[in-house]
Amino acid sequence: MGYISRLTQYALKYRGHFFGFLTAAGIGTVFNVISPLVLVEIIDSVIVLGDYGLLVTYTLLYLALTAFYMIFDTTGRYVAALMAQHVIYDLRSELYDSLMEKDLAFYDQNETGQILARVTTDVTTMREFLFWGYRVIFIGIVTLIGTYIVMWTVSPELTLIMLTLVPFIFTFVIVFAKKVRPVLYAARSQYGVLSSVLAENVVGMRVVQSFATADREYARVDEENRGFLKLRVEALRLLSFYRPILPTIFGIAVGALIYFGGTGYDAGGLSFGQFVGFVTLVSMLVLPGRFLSWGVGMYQRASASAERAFYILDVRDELMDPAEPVCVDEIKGAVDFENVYFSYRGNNFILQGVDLHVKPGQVVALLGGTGSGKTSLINLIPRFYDVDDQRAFVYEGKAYRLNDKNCVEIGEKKLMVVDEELEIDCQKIAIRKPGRVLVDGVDVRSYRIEDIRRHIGIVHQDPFLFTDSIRENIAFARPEATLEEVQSAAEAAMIHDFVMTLEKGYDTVIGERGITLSGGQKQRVAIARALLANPKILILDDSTSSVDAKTEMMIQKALENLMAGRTTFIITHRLSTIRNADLIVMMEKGQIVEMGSHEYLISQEGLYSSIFHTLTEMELAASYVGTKTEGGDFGE
Amino acid sequence: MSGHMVADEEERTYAYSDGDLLKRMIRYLLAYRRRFAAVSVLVALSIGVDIWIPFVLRQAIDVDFGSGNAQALLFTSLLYIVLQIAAWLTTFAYEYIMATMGQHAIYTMRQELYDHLQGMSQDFYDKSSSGRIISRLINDVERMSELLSEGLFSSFAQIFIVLAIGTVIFTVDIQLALITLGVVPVLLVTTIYFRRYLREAYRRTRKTISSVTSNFAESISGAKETKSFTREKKSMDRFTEVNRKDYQSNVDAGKANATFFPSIRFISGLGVFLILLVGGSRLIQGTITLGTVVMFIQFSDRFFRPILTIANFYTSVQSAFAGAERVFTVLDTEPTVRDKPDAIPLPPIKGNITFDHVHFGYLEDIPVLKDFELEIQAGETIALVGDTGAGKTTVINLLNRFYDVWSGSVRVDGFDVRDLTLESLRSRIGVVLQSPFLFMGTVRDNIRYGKHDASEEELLDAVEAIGASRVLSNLENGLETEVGERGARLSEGERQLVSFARALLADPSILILDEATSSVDIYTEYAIQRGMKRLLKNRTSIVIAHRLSTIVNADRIVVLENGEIVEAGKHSELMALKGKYYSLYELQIHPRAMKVPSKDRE
Ligand SMILES: Nc1ncnc2c1ncn2[C@@H]1O[C@H](COP(=O)(O)OP(=O)(O)OP(=O)(O)O)[C@@H](O)[C@H]1O
Ligand SMILES: Nc1ncnc2c1ncn2[C@@H]1O[C@H](COP(=O)(O)OP(=O)(O)OP(=O)(O)O)[C@@H](O)[C@H]1O
Ligand SMILES: [Mg+2]
Repeated sequence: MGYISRLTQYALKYRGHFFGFLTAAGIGTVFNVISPLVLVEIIDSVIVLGDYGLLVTYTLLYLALTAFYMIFDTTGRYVAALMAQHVIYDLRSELYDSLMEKDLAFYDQNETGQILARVTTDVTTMREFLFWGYRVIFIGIVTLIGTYIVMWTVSPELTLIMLTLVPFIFTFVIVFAKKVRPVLYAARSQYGVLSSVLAENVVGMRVVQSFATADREYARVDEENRGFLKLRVEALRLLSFYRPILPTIFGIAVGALIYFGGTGYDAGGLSFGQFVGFVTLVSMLVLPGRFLSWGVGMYQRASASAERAFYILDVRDELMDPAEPVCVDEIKGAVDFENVYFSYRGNNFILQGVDLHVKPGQVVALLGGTGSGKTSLINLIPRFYDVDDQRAFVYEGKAYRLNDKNCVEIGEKKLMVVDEELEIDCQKIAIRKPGRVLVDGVDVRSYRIEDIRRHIGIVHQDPFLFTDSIRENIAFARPEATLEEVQSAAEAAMIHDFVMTLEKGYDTVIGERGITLSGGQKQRVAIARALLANPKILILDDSTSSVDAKTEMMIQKALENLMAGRTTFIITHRLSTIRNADLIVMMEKGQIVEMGSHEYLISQEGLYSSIFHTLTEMELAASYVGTKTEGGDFGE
Repeated sequence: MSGHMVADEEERTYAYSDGDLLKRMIRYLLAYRRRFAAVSVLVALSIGVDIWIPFVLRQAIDVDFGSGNAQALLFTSLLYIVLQIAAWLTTFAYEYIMATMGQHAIYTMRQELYDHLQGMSQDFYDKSSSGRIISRLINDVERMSELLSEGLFSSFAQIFIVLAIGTVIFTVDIQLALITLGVVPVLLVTTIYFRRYLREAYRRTRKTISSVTSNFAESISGAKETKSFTREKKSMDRFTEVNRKDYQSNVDAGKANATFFPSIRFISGLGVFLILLVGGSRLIQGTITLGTVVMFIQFSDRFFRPILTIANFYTSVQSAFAGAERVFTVLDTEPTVRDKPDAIPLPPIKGNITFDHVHFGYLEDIPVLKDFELEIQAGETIALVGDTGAGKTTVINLLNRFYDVWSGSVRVDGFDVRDLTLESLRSRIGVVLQSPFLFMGTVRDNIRYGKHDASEEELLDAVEAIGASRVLSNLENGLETEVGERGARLSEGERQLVSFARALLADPSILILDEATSSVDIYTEYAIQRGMKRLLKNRTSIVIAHRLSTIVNADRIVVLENGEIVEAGKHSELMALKGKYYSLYELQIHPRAMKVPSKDRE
């Protein structure tokens, strides 16, 4: 299959090693195969002649052959190991590199456990093949042919009879591949299923425990576990039935040899030495049988593994650095979304015709319903995903995509774009160019990904912290940052005081090997991390949802200073934090429905103002009473 | 949070001796005594057959060959064939039975371990990474598989074979027997010498491969972060380093390996050489038959192979022991929180909750809750507010008995939670956790998790009650949308809604919302608030939230600071107090109260 030849391409980069170990294996095998001839010689000539000197010579010759075999075998193994390790080293680097380059869509679509398996377990399987596979197959073939040649020199007639064993060898190899291995594979894939059920349940153990569903989950695990047991036992049954079958057949052949050789001896055909030599040679045939079937098995396994591993290299996806990137050292921070359509590789458009223009240094607040596409929108700026590059349009609230021929089907109708316009039911819709996201007026796809991302700091909605010290986590973007810098970022994110209460301060390790942070503490570490990166464009995706209102305000205040000169996107569900934004953007179902400053939007009496009033109503209904009885001033 | 990665393993700690581990593993096999006996008989048979075969060959060479007795030849030849088939069938039979036993043992062990893990309390999960726990269940149990289903018996069988052959050959020819055995010390010395090398080499490869794996694992889990902060280059450098180390350690292991096995074979060749030399000269003298010499050559082969297998097996035994040790360590770790022997199930409850002088902390010497006192009436709605890290989540962790208090007690309807069965307690309490965890599957599957046999109507009711029907029906496939791993294909707010609906469907008597709607949009939140009265009817509920809108309607608001209650009362009362609560929320109500410099920028 193609994957093994691709793997071989890698191996052939070390041509010297590759052919070196094959040669060594080949020569070693030759020494191994001809050693029975010495046996024949000793029994038939030396003993008959009764020459002690000759006996010593011949036995020493036998020892020499064994020694040569050892030397070449060792060399072969060692060189093969070298080559295998070289290839694996290269392959892993390439895989890692490629993982670093992947867009997030890749991580959405592939289970993390699966990705990990592809780059670890599968690579190990390939290494096994690199080390054993080629050699074993090669040695198998050389031994098979060599043994028969040697047999021929001993007794051509018997060799012809023994040639009937060849079909058995191949039948064995085939039966093994066809009958036994599918069950082995089934068992292995059931193992995969069992593993993911177990893994998911361990990670979600809190949910299992708090819903008291332990019995149900136990039964689910039991079912998969039992399924695995059944398949595994079946596989082992087949294995222990078929594996010893080849030695048995050859044993039977030796039995036959006793009869035919014995009767042949009477006729003066076969000598003792020849007989013993034959017995040895026939037993040696077991080896190629085993090796070939083993080799074929490894080949199949490695091929499947290679397919899985190369998959990672091959989905070197849509997201790629441009051939001639626009160079940037500094950016100003203007961000423009032009007619942006976007979907997560499905039919559903998550963003539909978004137009948004942000000037350098502006503070933009994104507001909108759950799932309205806020996170998706800001993910386009650092190119975690790319915009849809096909032309699309919205008709009666629904988005449609044009195909390559500029056609689209709406309901039953097939329509075509003429002069950049589409006519539906006498209604003309202008079709604009495919969407773009621009930073400083240049399409983000024209920058090198790294260049653009360096200038963007994001606090994700669900931040991931590494099992490292707090300091290393905050200094993630700039590991060389000084402790003072780390501290001032932490102060701005209002986490410094908490860190100081810890015994080891900034060197405290968090996560699995250290302390556990509360939700709000985690978010604030993530904010500090983004601030330290000193980005031109700062994106805060709902990053204070678990922070109390007061702390949030204080972070906000600290940010005000830090935000100066930065373009800032804030996604939040708390109105109180966004009133000061330069631009408030309301999103609904992937579209921008309103946009403007707080005052402007209030005066428009649209969605924003209605939300604002609803909220004020909810929050102030009670508080009004409170503050009023106090006689306190009531702002709005 | 870490993705559910399987971290590969580090070193043995030698907390258990090899003997203990072996005994314990064998105990799992002993559950199948009859099969055990059958295997023993079959193994003995197969050894017998194995030893018999070379004798038949000698018979053929020495007696039948050249005797002209075709009858005898045929008989010997057939005997030889029958013995071959017998060897095959006995081997097959015992290997198969062994496999079933071993695999049943593995199955049982895995199931037992999983069951045990379900019973482990939360502090256990705090301390060990999920990746490592998963690795116990998957890799470590698997490590024992080979040993239990083949290795253990085979090694015993091999030892018997060696002993049997060692004895039998003395009855045939003492001199040749001595020569054959004479090579054994050489073999042993070589094996022991190499074994140290190999063990060290393999130990190093295990170490380096585990750092390669964990490096990969963390890079995959933290892919988003790495990309956001363009750490790719630096991560790559770090990876290159571990990759290089792994390369080096594997090359070293390869070197040791490449010398070891061919050397062993050479030594066995040396044995044949000696047999040929001595046997040959005695053949010339006529003091031995050719058949005997050939038999010895065959025996020496049969003699060396088991020794080689045993030596070979050593590595896999080490690996099995390492796995066994880690598995048994988990099995021997008692959960700190567990049912008392006389625990009673919680009767249908009203929902009174009492925290009585509770002291608690996660780590020794660092108290989080100090003398925490709170009385909640059945049907009441309590809002817990306070700075981040004040201990709000901790309060509900105790109610759910994820942890046990240091002193004081937590009571539900007057029952100390420690006297109740965990199952009954937790099934009455519905929790919506701060960071929602969803299982792979559809939105519907996930909501149904709360109540397996819920009708479609109940399910839709729950969704409707929290105002999520609008949001969820907007999804690509509505309720049939696949949520992806841990819910990654939903937005944060959607995940929270699903997790909320899931808890509600379970219809708990006590409902706990730990920032359950922190990322939900204002309208949905509003809808929830409006439905809240109905939602919380007949339930005691504890709501943790930072958004004012979520808490104003609570019957009582409890303000926490550093693990202590500083204020409690209705919203209006607390505002009037102008204390902690007022300072927490004045900004949210009067944002203008704070001079905000950005205004100047316009
Ligand atoms: N990785 C993904 N794969 C497929 N669909 C996705 C993915 N991420 C989000 N979606 C879907 O896209 C829509 C928009 O999601 P997005 O995360 O942008 O919402 P949001 O506005 O940020 O919502 P929230 O306020 O809840 O965070 C949602 O309906 C969600 O289900
Ligand atoms: N499993 C744990 N092990 C050790 N310390 C913990 C653990 N969980 C929480 N803590 C610590 O206990 C304190 C209280 O945490 P808790 O989660 O109760 O806070 P919280 O009030 O819920 O905060 P937030 O509003 O940020 O969620 C924090 O300082 C936190 O770091
Ligand atoms: Mg979002």
